[in-house]
Amino acid sequence: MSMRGHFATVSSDLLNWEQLRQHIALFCNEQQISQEVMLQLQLVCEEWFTNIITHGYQKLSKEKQTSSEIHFQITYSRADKEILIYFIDYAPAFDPLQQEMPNVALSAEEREIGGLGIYLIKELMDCCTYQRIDESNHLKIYKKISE
Amino acid sequence: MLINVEQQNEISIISLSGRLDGASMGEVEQRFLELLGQGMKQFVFDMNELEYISSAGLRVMLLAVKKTRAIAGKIALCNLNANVQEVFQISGFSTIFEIFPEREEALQFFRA
Repeated sequence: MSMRGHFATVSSDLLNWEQLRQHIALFCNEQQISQEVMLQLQLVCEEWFTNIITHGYQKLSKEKQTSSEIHFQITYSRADKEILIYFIDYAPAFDPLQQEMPNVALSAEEREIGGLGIYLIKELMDCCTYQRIDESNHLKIYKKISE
Repeated sequence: MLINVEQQNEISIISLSGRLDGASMGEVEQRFLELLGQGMKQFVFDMNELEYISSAGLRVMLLAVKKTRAIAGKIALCNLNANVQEVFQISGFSTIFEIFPEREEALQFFRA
């Protein structure tokens, strides 16, 4: 089974999104994944990456931070026709799958933007799993590819 | 992100080009608030060259529609690509905004 991927570790800084974004673009180019799927992958990764920093690391006092790293991995299993995105961070426990979903039927006046990022991840991807392991958050996001 | 603004009568046409994300949302917000500060009340966002939008981008769009309606103004969007359209649909923003396939149709909306 061929399994090729991109790996990166970046610090908790929103400016590092650019680096991950380029990894995804390069990966999709190598794997001949469509522009449409690439943009979806970039979207869900931006949402989760931003979430880790703004709801995770930035809420933690500097003394309590043991590490402010974010590990990122993207792989494609040709046999399963499936992309796996894997994020690990060391911020406080945060399970996106337990978050309340926004009411997307509200009017503009009633709408809040909160929760939309995680909602987009769930809607655009096929499956997500979350685990808290040894003081770290592990999120795996799966996307099936139709060739 | 490239932002181009042209005036057609009382309508400000804001063309967005590139990526509307966490990195560029501030620029778009600032530009929009400037126009609002100049007394503009009618806005067309032309998304023809917009490749990508994330929830950070949606945040600016929500701000724009709320501020515009608060002053009894009007806002319309046009030329959304498939990806941008999809994000608007999933998030329920396609029911919040008046969305048109072409700029001309968006401009018609203001004449109605």
